[in-house]
Amino acid sequence: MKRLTSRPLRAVLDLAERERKFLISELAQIKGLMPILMKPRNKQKWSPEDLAELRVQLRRLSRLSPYLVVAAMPGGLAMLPALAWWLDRRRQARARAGIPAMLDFETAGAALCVRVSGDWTYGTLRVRSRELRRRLAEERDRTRAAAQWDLSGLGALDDAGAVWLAREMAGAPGIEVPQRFQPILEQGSHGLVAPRETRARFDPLGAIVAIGELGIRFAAHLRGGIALLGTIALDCGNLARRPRDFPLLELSANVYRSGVSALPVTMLVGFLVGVVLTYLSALQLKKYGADLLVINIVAVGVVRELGPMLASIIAAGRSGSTMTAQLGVMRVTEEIEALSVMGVSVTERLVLPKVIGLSIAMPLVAFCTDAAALFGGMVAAKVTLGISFAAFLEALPRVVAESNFWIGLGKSVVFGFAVAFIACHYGLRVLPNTDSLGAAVTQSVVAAITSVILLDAVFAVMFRNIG
Amino acid sequence: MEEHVVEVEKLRNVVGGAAIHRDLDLSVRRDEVMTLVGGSGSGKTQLLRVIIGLKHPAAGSVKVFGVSWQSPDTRLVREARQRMGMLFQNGALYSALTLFENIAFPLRQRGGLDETAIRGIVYSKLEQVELEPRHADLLPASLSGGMVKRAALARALALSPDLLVLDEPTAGLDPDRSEAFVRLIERLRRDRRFAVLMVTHDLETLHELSDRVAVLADQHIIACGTPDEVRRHPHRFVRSFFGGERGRRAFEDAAAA
Repeated sequence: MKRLTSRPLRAVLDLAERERKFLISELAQIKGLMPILMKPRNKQKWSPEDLAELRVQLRRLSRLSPYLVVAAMPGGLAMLPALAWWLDRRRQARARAGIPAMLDFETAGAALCVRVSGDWTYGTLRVRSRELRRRLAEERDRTRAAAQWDLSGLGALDDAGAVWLAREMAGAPGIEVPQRFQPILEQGSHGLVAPRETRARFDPLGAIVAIGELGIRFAAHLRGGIALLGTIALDCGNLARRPRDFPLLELSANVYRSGVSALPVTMLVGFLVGVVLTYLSALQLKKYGADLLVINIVAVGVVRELGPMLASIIAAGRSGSTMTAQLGVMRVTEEIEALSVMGVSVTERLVLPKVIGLSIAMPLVAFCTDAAALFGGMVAAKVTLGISFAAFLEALPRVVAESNFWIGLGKSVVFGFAVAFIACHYGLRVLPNTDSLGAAVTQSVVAAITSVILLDAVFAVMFRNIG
Repeated sequence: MEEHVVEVEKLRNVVGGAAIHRDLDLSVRRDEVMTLVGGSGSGKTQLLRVIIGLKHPAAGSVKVFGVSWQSPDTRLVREARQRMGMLFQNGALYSALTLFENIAFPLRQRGGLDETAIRGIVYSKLEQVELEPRHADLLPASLSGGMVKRAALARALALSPDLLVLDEPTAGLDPDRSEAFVRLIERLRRDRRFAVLMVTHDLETLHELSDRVAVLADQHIIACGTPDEVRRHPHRFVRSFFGGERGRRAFEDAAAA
């Protein structure tokens, strides 16, 4: 015979079969309910066993009751398969979770006896923990007696159950535990006697301490920075004596990575800034008829300030973060230690090529950014003021002194050095954990951009008489 | 509970375009310690990754607690995951969290436990793996290798798993510590029942803990059985692995003891 039942179909058939068996077995059990229910009518009293049986039966009925919904609802029959599927799923999940954790209370005189039954595991407690605690507390309030515990009905016990029970049973006068659960229960109770966490208390001098710590941290950074600078200088001196050991390969790789591959983004940003700057200046200058002055503003602004600044800030975000992360990961994976052990100077092999590389790449990138920004200016000037490209280019050398160009390039060398230096400094200070790595990268970028802007201000004051 | 906690059938596993497992069958029964051995590069770790659901198999079925990791029933998958504890080779503790938080992490994820219960379970786990309560507030970076292993074991055991997966549990531990680790696992298994699937190169660990050994070679399981059965297998890897000087010694020691 051909296999005509596909997988989903078979699943549905299985489900229907399971559901049918379940219903039949449940209904068969309920038959037993009737004689018990009839007892009071026949002037008999319910014994404790009968009561227990009744409880079980009622629980069964409540589990069946969702089916009654189908009968009560209009069109409910159409929903039967969906309901059956849902109930089946729920029942399977419950079966997987185990027999529910149960507490039964017995009072014999003043004494309270707590009988523990069912599975006491993560799965069962997750559902019932709160309810069980509430019932236990109620019961205790009522009897005001230390409870005896009887765990002989326990089905399964894991650490969640052990800790739960150990906590509630602490100080109980009598505890009956089956042999096989004793070790787990004991381990659970050990966990509870562990020392309490000390909570951080409010410290009135906290602010002063924090400021002091900030100062100390800053001093540590300064000290580390000076030490790194010194090491770089020493390495340069050493390499000057044996130029063959100079890490040329790493240097060229760094120039490529932080220079060439940064060009598209810096030039795009430069172009757009040139356009915006020219457009905004042109709007103002038009009012005074000083159209041609736009070339002065754009040219001086871009060549002397904006070009190097833009290039360095983008380098801080792009290359600086890469350098910090790279050194940081090498620190975390102990690669830096491995280098030191092999007698390779970490600064010579890792820091120096980065610092020199970015110092070389930065003016080149700044030059390209200048060109892109000026081109953007040309385009915007043509559109808004009708200044032709030829007129713009012809006016350019007249309005910008050459010194501005050299100042711009000189600044970018320093910026490049600063960005790479700061990035390496933070990278080498990373501690071997993930938090520290993330924090170091953020700090490195922030510090690099801040110091670029600060340095620019210093240069502005220094060269105020030139150009 | 299921008869088999792990069932791998006709597994085909591809790494970088090349098949590293073909027609691989493996099963782990409940309450047993199954050890997976194989030469370097035979794909033990890859097999483990497939079994714990970090990697999808190219073909064949992998079921843990009867559930496939690719099953669309996310609840089943989540439940199966919570019944499995994994000890990574280097511990893989979260370096930004203290030991306490590392062990509490799966408990918090699981939910339904109040803070006192979580504290109780964490400290009880620390005690079970023979770490002291004062270690709880340390960061993993300030622990020794053996302590990291034990802390990671505590985290793997946090949810009282039915299956514990160990990747090279004794790698990087000195013989004393390895011995202690084996005793630890034995003791833990005496108090609570769980199956263990383990990859190890350490013959003594293998012999002391394993109920069954599966040998991975030529892209599938070439032999599977008790340690004594497996080491008589004629395959050249088995001969060199168990038949070498160290291999013989481990078994002779065991026989003498």
